[in-house]
Amino acid sequence: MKALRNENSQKLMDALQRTVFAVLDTMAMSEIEFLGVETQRDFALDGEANGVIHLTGGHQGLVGVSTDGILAQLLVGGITGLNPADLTREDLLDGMGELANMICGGMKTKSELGQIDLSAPLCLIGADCYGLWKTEHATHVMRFKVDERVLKVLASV
Amino acid sequence: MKLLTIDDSRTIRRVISGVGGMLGYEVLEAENGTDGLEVLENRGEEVALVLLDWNMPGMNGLEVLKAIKADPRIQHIPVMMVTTEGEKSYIVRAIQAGASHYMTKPFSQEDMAARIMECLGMGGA
Repeated sequence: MKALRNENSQKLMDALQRTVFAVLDTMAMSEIEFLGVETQRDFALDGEANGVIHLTGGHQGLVGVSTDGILAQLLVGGITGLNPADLTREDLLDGMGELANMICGGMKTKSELGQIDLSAPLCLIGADCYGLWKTEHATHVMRFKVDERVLKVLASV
Repeated sequence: MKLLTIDDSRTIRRVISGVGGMLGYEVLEAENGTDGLEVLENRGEEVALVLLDWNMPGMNGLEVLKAIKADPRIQHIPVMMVTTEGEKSYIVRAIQAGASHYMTKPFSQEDMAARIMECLGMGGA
């Protein structure tokens, strides 16, 4: 059972990394580079803009995105086609949730595991934002350089 | 004629409204399935195409799609699913329920414009 979960977790992680590139590419973001992955005990969100999706069904877990306010504006501007400077707090909240949703949807499809349901997103925004979710499994934190800034993609799967 | 986007994400509704506007269409918006069906009940004769999300609070997109296709007054309106769900089983279920087209997020605005034109029978050869 544990071996199966590990195998599925690896499929999800591989799919997640490929999906992040695909999503950012569609949004016409430039200079996308994978900086690496590290593992931490808990699912900790410490960016100024964050979105989290809960995986349920056949494989349970959490997937989130976390970044600074400027990159969040660029990312949401990339999704909407709007001028990043014109985006409101509500735009950023909804946009970060939608970004998490797109990434999770793509991960789910590319992993071909099936039977995974996605929750509605949880979105957090704030200059001193810090969220901690104590999870059963360790959290893998992928770091991507996007337009000279860092997008963190967290996965406890 | 107008387009109707039914999506709980205001981000996606704004994208679709922007693309629709570029194509010369007014875009009606609903943030859930119940509101979307109400728009169709009241203004269905104005709507040329419904762009429908799958994962929404309350009625999901498939339930909304089935409700549209079960109503003789609005069942003729084409429906394009616009969703993060890209698995074949989802696509098959949507097509079997009467969806005309299926588009996965994310998408570029150019791709969305082309797909809308195709749905409306104005795509290139």
